[in-house]
Formats: sequence, structure tokens, C-alpha cells
Amino acid sequence: MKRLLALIKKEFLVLVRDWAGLGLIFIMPAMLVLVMTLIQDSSFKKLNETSLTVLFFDEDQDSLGMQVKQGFDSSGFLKVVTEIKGRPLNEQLLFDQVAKGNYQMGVVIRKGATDAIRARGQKLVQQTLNLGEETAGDSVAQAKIILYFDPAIKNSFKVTMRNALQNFTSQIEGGILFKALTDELSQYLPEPPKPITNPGGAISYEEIYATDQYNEIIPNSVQHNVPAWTIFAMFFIIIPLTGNIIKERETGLSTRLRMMPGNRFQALTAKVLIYTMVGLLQCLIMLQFGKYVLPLFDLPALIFGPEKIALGLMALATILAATGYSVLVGSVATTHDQAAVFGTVSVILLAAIGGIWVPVFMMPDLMQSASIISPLNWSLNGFYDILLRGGGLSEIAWEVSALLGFFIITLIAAVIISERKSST
Amino acid sequence: MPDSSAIEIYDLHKTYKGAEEPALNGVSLQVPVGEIFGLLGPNGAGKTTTINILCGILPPSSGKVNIAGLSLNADLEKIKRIIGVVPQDIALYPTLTARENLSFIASMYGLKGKERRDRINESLSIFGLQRFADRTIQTYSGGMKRRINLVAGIMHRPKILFLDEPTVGIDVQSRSVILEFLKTLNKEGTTIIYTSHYMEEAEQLCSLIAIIDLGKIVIQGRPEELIKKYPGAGNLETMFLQLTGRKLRDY
Repeated sequence: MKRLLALIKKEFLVLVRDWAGLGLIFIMPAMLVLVMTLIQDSSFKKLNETSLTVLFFDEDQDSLGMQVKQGFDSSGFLKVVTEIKGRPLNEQLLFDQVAKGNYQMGVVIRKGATDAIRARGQKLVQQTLNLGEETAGDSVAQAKIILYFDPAIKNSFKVTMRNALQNFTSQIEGGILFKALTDELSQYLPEPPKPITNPGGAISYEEIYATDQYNEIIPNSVQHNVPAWTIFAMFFIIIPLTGNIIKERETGLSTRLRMMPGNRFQALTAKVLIYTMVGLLQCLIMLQFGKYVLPLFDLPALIFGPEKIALGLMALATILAATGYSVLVGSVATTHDQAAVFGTVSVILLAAIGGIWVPVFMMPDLMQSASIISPLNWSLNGFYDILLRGGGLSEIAWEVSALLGFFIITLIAAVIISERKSST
Repeated sequence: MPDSSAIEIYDLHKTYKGAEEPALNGVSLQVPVGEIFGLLGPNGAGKTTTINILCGILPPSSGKVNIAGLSLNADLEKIKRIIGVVPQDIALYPTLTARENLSFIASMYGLKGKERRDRINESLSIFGLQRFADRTIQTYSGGMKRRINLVAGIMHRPKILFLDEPTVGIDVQSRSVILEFLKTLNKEGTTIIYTSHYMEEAEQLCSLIAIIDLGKIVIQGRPEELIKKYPGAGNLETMFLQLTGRKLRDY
């Protein structure tokens, strides 16, 4: 026990003497959480919480064009630009600006769009009231709205904008159709009817998160990103820990340790204990950062929920898995460069597969199946069970068991590999 | 098996994995208690392999080793407590101070409290390092590093001390202090097993030598007696060259 304490003290001193390394361990992950949460915050906000600039050219100069522009102006999330440097937009200028990437999107209301909607209204009324015979050539032209997108934008943005615009214009289209219907009916009725107004949508939506446990938790960018990037940072303990192991080997310190009383297991235990403490401290700082610092950047505060013990256990299981993996890589690698490159790339790959960057459900089937091999995925699921679904110890039992199993297997493998290396 | 033997090696073989030639090929040696034993040989002769096996960090392919009457196979933990090792590398934590390094090593040997503090101060003062005790090892000169590396190996007052080229690449003053200390330590009863490339140094220091080449002991005995056996040799270095040849031994 005294030897173990001496080893722990030594590991602690070695760690705290490396101020630059310590800074990286604690400051860089906090920066990572802040930047990634700010970046991804917009995708968690409703569309009307963001602001987008849109080029707008109204060739129609009628009701549709005017109402679309009014709608854009009053939406609060779209800033409409109709001229550039005092020069009114035309379709070619709008196209050029979007093609150059100066703007991400342009909208053109083609000439005759409003007339096309009116004609459609008239046609509908005539069909409904059986006024006149339908012929093969009676099809009505469609109102055309052209959307130009910067080729560099993501498809998801394009789909989102198109859906939003469709939803928006359908209301305008409805209004024009009701007006056409009113006008048409007035020709056939003895007394002109009262104007029909759009009654609005008949369906209302209510969003309820499917959790029956802790209702205070609201899924948002912070609840998603803080645990995800905290796990990522905890696995990056691989850099200092493999560095520590390889430095001891290169300088002959590991040989000296083996010449002294005590066994390899004690030396390894001391490392695991110290780096586990570092990882837990790192996790605590990151979670507190999410709770107290992120709100200073206009982000929601992280809500821990009532399952603090489950949260602590999940953090412990995660850092143990990260430590076990780091010890294994440190035992296999023969140089600093090998350990740094393999360690970094493997953690990034495991993070990508594990759903840290892109949610697993959005991945192709093959990658969704592959995600189960990543310990970062087990950890992420566990954290989400607690921080998003309000789960407790029973909900994270599988994830914790898998991470602890991974820790034990990697540690045993590391000991076997080290013994083999030193006995050849 | 005589009780007065510090080291007994019988037919020791070691072949590294993937190597075509054995590193040790039937080495047998006996080092009586109280000797300063020099294991000499060109590069790649098997000196460090022998020391590493004797210290228990490298398993032999075959053969038998007893240290202070204890079997290396069965009593390794007991052996570790009575031997001290000064490796070729400066095997100390560069970002820790000399005192922190020594305190850690002393604790591993079970020293504690005042005894540990006194032992550290005493050892540092012997080597003129007391005023640098709280400086990190990375700020030490080459000679200071060699000296503190030696201190680290003797903190627990071992019965048998292994030194693998302890004076390589250091200044004359540091070498002199180290050699004088080893003589004093030996007079106090410590058996010293020492490897070196410096024949003149070995001739001065060692009471017993063995020359190893290509994994085999070529010759062993008292230096002055061995030199007499080789007429015209005159000194250990000439005898060494006669036995091992002048061909470069890069490996």
C-alpha cells in the first residue's frame, strides 16, 4: 500500500509539473464545448429564431410577389434584399450574386404567378359548381417561384428553406384562392356573397418529448453538445497518458521501476487512479461550464436532472474506459509519434462512429450498425439517458457495464502486451 | 554452492526474439561477496543483457542464476530488495527535483520518515549535490545527472550493486567522485558488479574481471594475474584488444 501511495504521489507530481499539458487537458475541452455548442445551437433553434438574408426579385409585380415580400419582411427571420449597391435586382444579377457565394439563397417570383393562382381558383370553382365542360386542353399554368441556392450550402439547409417557403406561400395561395372563389361565386349568385376569409389551419400541433421521468429537461444544443464533447475530451486523455507511458519507457524509468520492489500492476494502478481523477475533474469542470458559463453566451444552461449519482457513475465508467484504452495504446505504440497519431485518429474515428458529431439515427444503415462498437457511443447513450431522457441507474446499467468491461479488457491486454515486450 | 558467492551464474543462454545469434551463449560466472567485479566487453558482447537478467527484468532462455544464495526464478522480490541498480540511462523523472526523485525511490524500498530524509541528505552531500536538491533533474549538467543516477541506486544500501557503464560521457571530476565512492562502498561490504568500456578505469577499480565477447566469457580472474598471463600485453586494454580483436563491433 505504501508503494502504491508513493507511485500515486509520483504520478501526481509528474502531472502537475506539466503546466502546458494540464492547460490543454482542462482549457481546450471547455473551448471545444463552447465553440461546438454555439455552432450547433442554430440547428436546435426553431427557424424563426435565426436570421437569414435572402435576395428577392419580384418579376410578378402582383399580389403573390407583394405578399411574399411582406411576409418575408414581417417573418422576423428573413432579411429581404431587393437591390445591391443601389442597383435593383434582376434575375441575372440575383443568380450571379448567389453563384459567387455572396448570398446563400435568392427567390424569384416569375411574371404571371399571381394570375396563374387566380386562374386555378376560377377553374376549381367552375369544376365544383359544374359550370362549363372540362376539356383535355383546359390545364391551368402553375405559379412559378424560382429558388437559387449557393452550391456550397448543405442539402439540409436547402430542404429546410424550401419547406419553410412552401409552408409560407401555401397560406398566401390559400388567400388568393379564397378571393378568386368569392369573385367567381358573386357572378352566379343573385346577391353577392360575403367575402370568404381563410379560416386558418384545421390542425394544430403539440410537441411533447416522450419522457415520463423528468419534465424540467428540455432537449437543446447544450443538453446534446455538452455531454457529447465532454466524452470526446475525456477520451483525449490518450495524448498525455500515452506520452507518460512512452516517456517512462524511452528514458529507462519503466526499467528502473521493474528493478525496484513492487509489481507492474501497482505502477499501472497508480497511473489509472491519477488519470481517472483528472478525467473526473475534467468532466466536472465541463458540466459546470455548461451550467454556468454557456448561459453567458446566450445559450441555455445545462440541466443535470435529479440523477446525480447516475451522472457520476456514467462519468467514472467513461473515464475508466478512456484510461484503459490509453494504457493499451501506450503499451502497443513504440514511439510518441505512433501513439499521438494513432491515438488522435482512433478517438476521432470512434467519436464519428459513436454519434458524437452526427447523431447515429442520421447515419447510413452500415454506420448505424457499426456505432455499437464505439465506447464513445455507449457513453453518449448513457449520458443522454440521464440528461435528455431523465433516466437513472437502471437505465444506464448496460452502458456502465459495457464501459467497465472495456476498461478491464483493455487493461489486461495492456499488461499482457507489456510483459511480452519486456520479456523478449 | 558456496555461501560466500554474491552471484552464481550457470550456463546462461539468451536469444532475443527474431535474433539469429544468441546474445548470451553459455555464460557461467561466480562473483564472491565483497568484490568489485568488472564485466568488460565490446559493444553487443552481452554485458547489458547479463546485467538485465541478473536484475530480474529480462528472463533468460535457459540457465540458472543465484544472487546472494537466492534463486532468481523463485525469490525475485527478495532479490530486488537487496540489490541496487544504476542503469546506463539517466532513469529519473526530469521534471521532478532530485529530492522528489530520491524520495520516491526510497519509498519504493520501504524507507520512510526521518530515515528516508536523512538517507537522502547524506547521499546528496556525498556527491556534492545537496544545494541542488530542490532543482529539477532537467536543469542538471551531464555529470550531475550521472551522480544523481548513482545516488538513486544506492539509497537503500544494497548488498549487491549493479552499475551499467556509470561513468560514460562525464567530466573527470564527476568520474573521480563516482569511482572513489564505489571504492568506499565496497570497503563497507557492498559487492559491486560493473560494466564499462574504459579499461584503465576497470583496471584501477576492479578486483576481479571477466571479458565477454559474442555472448561467451572469454576470460576471467584478477586483472593483474590475467595481464601477466599475456606477455607483452602490459595493461588491460592491450590484453582486451588481443582477446576481442580490433574489428569494429557495430550491431
